[in-house]
Amino acid sequence: MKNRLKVARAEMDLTQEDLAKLIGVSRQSINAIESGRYVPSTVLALKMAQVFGKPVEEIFMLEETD
Amino acid sequence: MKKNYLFPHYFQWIGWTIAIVSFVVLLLGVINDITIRMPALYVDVFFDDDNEDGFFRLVKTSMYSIAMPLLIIALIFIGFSKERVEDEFVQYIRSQSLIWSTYVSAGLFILGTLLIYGLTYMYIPYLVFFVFLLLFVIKFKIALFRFNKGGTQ
Repeated sequence: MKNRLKVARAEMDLTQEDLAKLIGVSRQSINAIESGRYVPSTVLALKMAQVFGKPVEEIFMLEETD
Repeated sequence: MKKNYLFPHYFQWIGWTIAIVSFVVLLLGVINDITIRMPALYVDVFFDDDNEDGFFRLVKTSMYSIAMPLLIIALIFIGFSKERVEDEFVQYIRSQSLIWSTYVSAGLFILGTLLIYGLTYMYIPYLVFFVFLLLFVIKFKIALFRFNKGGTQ
């Protein structure tokens, strides 16, 4: 799964820490998700989408290998 | 879905305190060769010639009998209490550490069964369970530490 989290964050001028606080996780989790080491749950993905005011598909997208 | 068997975060500090205390107790007990009296459900004199055979006895034993259960409780508290920010990623790391520790302990159990015989083998199950908890805690804390350190903005 690919993600555009970093870009979406930059667009809203949010740090990893800011985003983490907004959705109630640790900064490390945001970092792990951004770098593709961890695939978040649907709940977490929806929370992030809510913060950015975008549909989930605009932040997370499937790859051919998925 | 949100069911969670973990202890509150402050149990981690209780766990560390118990761990240190029981380790000191164990050490002092071994060095000074202290004998204590404990109530027992069942005593088998075949392995224990200090005591009388049978059910419901008061037995002479070493500090180990107190320190070992305390150490296990301590490890449970340390490994299974919530982190400061307990999210799904921490739970993922915890479950991965548990899987890893299960494999390693199973390997040790198998090796012990194949390679160790006689009275010494009696210690293997107890030891393996202790090592299982210990390895889990070490693996989990190292993984957490790495993620806390690594990762830039």
